[in-house]
Amino acid sequence: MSTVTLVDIIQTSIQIMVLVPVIIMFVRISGRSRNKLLPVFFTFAMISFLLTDLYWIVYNFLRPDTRNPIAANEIAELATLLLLSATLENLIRDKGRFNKLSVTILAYSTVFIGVNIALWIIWSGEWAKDIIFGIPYIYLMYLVSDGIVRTKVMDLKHSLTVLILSLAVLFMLIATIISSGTLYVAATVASFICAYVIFGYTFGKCIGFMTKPDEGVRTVLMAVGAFEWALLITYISDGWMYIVAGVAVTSTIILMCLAYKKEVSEDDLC
Amino acid sequence: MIYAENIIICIAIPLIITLIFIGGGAGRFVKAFITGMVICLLAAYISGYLESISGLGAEDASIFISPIVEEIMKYLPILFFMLVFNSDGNVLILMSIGVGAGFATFENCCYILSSGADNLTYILIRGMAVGVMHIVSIFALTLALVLLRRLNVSSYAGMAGALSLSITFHSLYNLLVSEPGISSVIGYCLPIAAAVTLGISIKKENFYQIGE
Repeated sequence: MSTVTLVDIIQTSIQIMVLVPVIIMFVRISGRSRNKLLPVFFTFAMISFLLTDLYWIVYNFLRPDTRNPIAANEIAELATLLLLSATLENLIRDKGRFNKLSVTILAYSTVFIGVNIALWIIWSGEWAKDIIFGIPYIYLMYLVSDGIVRTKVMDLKHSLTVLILSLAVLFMLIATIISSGTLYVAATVASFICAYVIFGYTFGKCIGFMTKPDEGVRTVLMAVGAFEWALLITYISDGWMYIVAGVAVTSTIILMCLAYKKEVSEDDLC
Repeated sequence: MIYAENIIICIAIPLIITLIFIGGGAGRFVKAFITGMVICLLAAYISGYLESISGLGAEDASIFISPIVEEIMKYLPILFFMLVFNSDGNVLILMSIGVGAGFATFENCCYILSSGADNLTYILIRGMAVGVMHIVSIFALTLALVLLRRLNVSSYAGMAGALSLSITFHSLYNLLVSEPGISSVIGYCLPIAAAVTLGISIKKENFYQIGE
């Protein structure tokens, strides 16, 4: 077993230690809350993510440094995204903000994740798996982006900046495929800088909303957005950068837990 | 080689006869039990076909392909009854237990016939592990579906998410028991642990009453 795999197992174990109390807390919240849907489905989503981590650790122990042909951990990750999507559907619809399909946002989500899927296929060669597992990312990105626009989470200047940065990440990643040498290193570094700037922005914005009253929906949207973005970063990362991305994912789990708790408690007060 | 079709006929006929004398919940359970056995047979056909076209070995196929096929097959009758007959939540839960128990029973019958039943300890472990695993996975899946409906969320994302959750649970079990030693022991304990945790959570937090 390589050192990176060992550190990855340790990092995933820490993530499990974060997930277990989160699940226990939300099982309790589900029992006493008036709004059952959000805590119940968030609990299911986190159980799915726990299974992702458990499967990943068990696989690394039993078959270290081997390629997983059909990754059940990715199926669980898919479950997490779908269950989070179910909560967002309800959350946005509940607040009367999910009335009709936003074609522009759907097109952007499809193109953005579509290019990501193409990159995953180039890197892994597993086209069927990458396409199937990419679809929930499109849907969740659509829900988050649509929610962000409808709830006016960001002003136009910030929205455009995030949009340009996210497209820059894609261009840099495409550049890494067609370039070599110094250009390759520059494109890789630039893509990570852009990706982590967006991550930091969504994370910070979420914390900002966390401290304000009656901002539960916006907090959840930004937390789920940060979580999805962190997951996308793990897909473009390898080796030690994968560990760093894993830490980012762990931090967004805590963020989502606090965001959903805030939304549920605000909903109970209404 | 075992003749699985003959075995299913042999087990199903007495159960079908019981349906003449019983009805209501017991009748539904027996029907679901028979459905579970038929689904187990169909899942074995599909898994065998996918194993042959994927080029994976028997062990890899049981770890990576079987959980996906088996959970989807168990999911279909529950989804059918929920969407077509609009069955009540308690009926769906009863049926899910029946499907899971039928599936596990038929799988165990075939296993015993092909590998022998001379080692009582191993047979007990298999019964407690595989038997419970099939019931727990379909029960949790149905519970999620029932909750979705009770909370008025006709979400395909939620339905697919619940299915993915049960597939992963099954895959984790198959992966753990594929290697001898401590991983097998953990694998055999996993379904019982999940059943106990699920049972306690449901009773303590009144999950059955959610949305009612």
